[in-house]
Amino acid sequence: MRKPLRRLRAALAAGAAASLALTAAACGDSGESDADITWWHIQNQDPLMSTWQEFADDFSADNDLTIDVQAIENQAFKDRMGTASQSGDVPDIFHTWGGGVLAEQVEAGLVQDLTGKLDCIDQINPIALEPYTIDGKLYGMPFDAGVVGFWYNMDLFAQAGIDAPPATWDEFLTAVQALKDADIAPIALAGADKWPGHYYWTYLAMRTVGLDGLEAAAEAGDFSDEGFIQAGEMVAELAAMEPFQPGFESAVYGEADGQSAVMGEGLAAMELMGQWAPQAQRDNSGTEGPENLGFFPFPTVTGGAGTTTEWLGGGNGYAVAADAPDEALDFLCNFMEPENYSRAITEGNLTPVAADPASVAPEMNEDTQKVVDALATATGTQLYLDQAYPPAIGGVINDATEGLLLGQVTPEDFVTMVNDAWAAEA
Amino acid sequence: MTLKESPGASPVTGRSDRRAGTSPRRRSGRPGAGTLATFIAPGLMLFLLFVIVPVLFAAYVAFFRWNGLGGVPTDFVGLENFRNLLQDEVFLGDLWRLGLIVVLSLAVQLPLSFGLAMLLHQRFPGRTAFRLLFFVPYVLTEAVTAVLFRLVLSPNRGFADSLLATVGIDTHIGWLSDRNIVMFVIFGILTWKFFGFHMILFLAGRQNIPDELYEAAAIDGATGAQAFRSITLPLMGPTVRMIVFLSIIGSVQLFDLVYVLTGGGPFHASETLAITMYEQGFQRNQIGYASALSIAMFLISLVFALLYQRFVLNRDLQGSLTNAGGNR
Amino acid sequence: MKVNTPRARLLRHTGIYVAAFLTTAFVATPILFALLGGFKDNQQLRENALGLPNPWNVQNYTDVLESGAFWQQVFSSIFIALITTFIVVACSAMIAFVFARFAFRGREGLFTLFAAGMMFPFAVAVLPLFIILRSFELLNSPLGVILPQAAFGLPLTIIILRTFFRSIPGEVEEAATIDGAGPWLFFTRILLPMSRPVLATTSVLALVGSWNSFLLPLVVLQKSTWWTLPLGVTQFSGQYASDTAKVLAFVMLAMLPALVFYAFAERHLISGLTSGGTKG
Repeated sequence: MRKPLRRLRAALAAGAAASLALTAAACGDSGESDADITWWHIQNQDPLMSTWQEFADDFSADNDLTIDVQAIENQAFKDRMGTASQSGDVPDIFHTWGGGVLAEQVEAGLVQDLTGKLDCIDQINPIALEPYTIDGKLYGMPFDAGVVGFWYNMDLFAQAGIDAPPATWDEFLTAVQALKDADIAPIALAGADKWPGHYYWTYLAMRTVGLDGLEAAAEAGDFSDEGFIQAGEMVAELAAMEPFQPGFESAVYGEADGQSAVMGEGLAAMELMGQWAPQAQRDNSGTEGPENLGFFPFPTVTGGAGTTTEWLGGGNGYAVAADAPDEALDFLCNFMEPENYSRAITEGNLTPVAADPASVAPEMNEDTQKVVDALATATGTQLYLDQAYPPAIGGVINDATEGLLLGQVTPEDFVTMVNDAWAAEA
Repeated sequence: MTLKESPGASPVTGRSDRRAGTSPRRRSGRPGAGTLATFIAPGLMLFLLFVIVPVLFAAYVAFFRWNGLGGVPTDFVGLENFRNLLQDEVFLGDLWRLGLIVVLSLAVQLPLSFGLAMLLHQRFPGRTAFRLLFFVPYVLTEAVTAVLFRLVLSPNRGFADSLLATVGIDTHIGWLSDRNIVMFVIFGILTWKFFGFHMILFLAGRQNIPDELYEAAAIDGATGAQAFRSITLPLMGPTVRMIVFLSIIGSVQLFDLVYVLTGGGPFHASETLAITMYEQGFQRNQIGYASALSIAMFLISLVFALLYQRFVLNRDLQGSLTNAGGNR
Repeated sequence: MKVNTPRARLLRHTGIYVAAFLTTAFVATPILFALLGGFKDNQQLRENALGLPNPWNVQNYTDVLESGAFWQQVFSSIFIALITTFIVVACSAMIAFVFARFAFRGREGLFTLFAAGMMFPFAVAVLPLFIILRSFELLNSPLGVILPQAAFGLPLTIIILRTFFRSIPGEVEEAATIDGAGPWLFFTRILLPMSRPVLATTSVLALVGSWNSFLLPLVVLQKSTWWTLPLGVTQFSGQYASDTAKVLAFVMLAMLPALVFYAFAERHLISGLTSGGTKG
């Protein structure tokens, strides 16, 4: 195929040259961006959207360059990164969650090895670097790290007569039923986005087979263990109670009627979400959010191997394109300037990754503090599966969980789908 | 269905040209091959590079497992991609949904447009204004239409729900979230978007029927219904058959509207062939599999077009379709 | 043929108007929702979804109009549409001219090849096109959108133009030949000027096709520099997902150019569609 391809390329060149000649007069522009640095991030909501823009403006003014900043909604970002990776041309700086998705981008030669290149790296807690470290090399810089747990509206829980957050899955189901009986939508979920749903299956798997079991399964590409089927059954059992807000099937996370807005307006009692949830609730609903917002870890499963101190989590970070200018690295460290970073933490309620959090964020928001405490006492963490695994597999897990939640996929089918995806990847 | 891709019945014209080719203009000065080549080359080059080569390339890649990230496909897997396709419930569901849209279009959308065309063919004050207005949705970009309808159909206190509430229907209809109705909602939006286009085509076909025929029928004592049955319907045949063709070919490649509206969800309930292809190819990096899907789409269009041409359009060959309609 | 008493006509007209107004409501309601919604704020949208804006709030519209992104997208859309149209019509006219007026070996085969191109759904080609454009470094460039669009526009345009070119009497060409004009001169000086109406029609078709194009720009234009309006609208609605009123304003403004164009070029648009659609 090599030769035909080259011939094809030559033929293409000839053809385009001809067509170019046709349009030469009208079209002198090569289409390259004028910006020196292109940056795609997912902070598409104020306050952070404006803060990020200001960082870019200040940096470009100081360094005499231009930064083309794109604030892209989470799901749209993932779609566009997929295509951009395929195109072999990724933005100079782009959002990343690390893991298998980043690994595949690294393998395709798209991402710059940052090992030893970032002056500010020792300001960051080494644990936070793990998701971005592949084969001992660093490919991303985190600016936030945290865990996924249940954010709940304490007033609505009280209304339903629930005194304490549920500690076991059975208690959890009882609480869901109590909320339903009190005419409160128990859970907000963005069904159309799929990734919020996959937290449920992942957490249940973490609680049944435990972190080691999950790791072993990923290693072997075999999710046939009874515990995984049990996790699927429990997701199906939850879904059968119809605990989600009306129309959740087509809801996305961050829109006017989406998951976080529903929480922000107090229309649902809880959501299973990461450290950014309280801020997103305010941003997307345009309200102050629930007056009393609580946080509890994902409950345990009786007889399961997992504990409540094992967290699903991850952070947000930035990776740099292989061919990005050196200024892109300086720009990353610009985030870690104490003045900038503490501003980001205060305004955006980020969960700091600083080696010494107290130095950048002496007074943290109480919601943020809850996540920080959880992280500090964690005995183990697991990165979001749709990022930890290669895209083809993460995609299948997201998709199959949606199927479970909608009653379209049985727990057994689920395991088959995931196993097939691993087999195809091998 | 959409303008940019609207394929006509090329075999029809292809065949009719052979006929036309026997009455050539050979008397014209015979320019050299070089001159002819100059005229043909730019377009032909463009066409080969960006139409023919891609389709051939897709046919080639369809036999490989390839993630597309650089390099060339090397992992030859024979027919495996096609075999997997035939077992893929999403793909089979796409076909089923394609069938649903086609049946609904033929049974509901086209008769509706036909009826409106007949209405607007009558003379009454305001007729031109209505005709202009009904065509407006077709002018709007599909992607823009989809964003608009997503907001109209928003689940909590959306516009559609508020509208229904004023006429006393106070239910939360999961317009885009209920797997059982989402396809019908999409069909409703497609109707909104395309009935005006079909209506205009029907109207043009109706206007090609000479009034004398109706006058003659009236003299013979035919009722309006009889004239409709024995003049309008048969003479509209070619137009109807062409619209059916356009509508079906358009349905095969439905993408923009549904992708922006639902992304194919919930859980594939509104997915189309093109969306599955896009997701497999661009989101999951399974280029080989997605290419097999592309080829399947191509074959579906091709087989349909050939069959349709063979069994349905054939009789129009000598009819008004190919000769009439000089550019007004 | 029809009973034409005044009463019957009145009845018939009433029926027609009822149907016409029902259809009008069906067509216009969503568009009015966008138009008026853009003048509301989000609170009004929530509490007063159906009524007129109160107070009228122009800020959503002015915000969009003041944003550079909107104008950049309008410009890209227009630019890409114009160049695409020029290439399609120029290339097609030359080919259609040869097909219509000269007999040569392989003509029918070549014509069938082009005609068969109408059978290739665009979606089929988009994946390999992407890879070809990539190997050719045309991604993120307007040419990466323009050239494939133009290529896919050729078949229909060639067919329409060829039909028209054939209808021009041979005497015109003979007269030109006697005057010493070669094919090129005849083509540019006589044939093209004579074909203005049909050139306008095919141009409108190509323009509209390019304007509405979504899938190709979606995969080719990852960076926003050359984004067209359809991409811009979807991106905007994601970015401002929680600001429904602003998205409605953007949607309305994105519709506006097409509506204005339709108002002015309605005749060409409809004649183009009917000739493209019914004749193929």
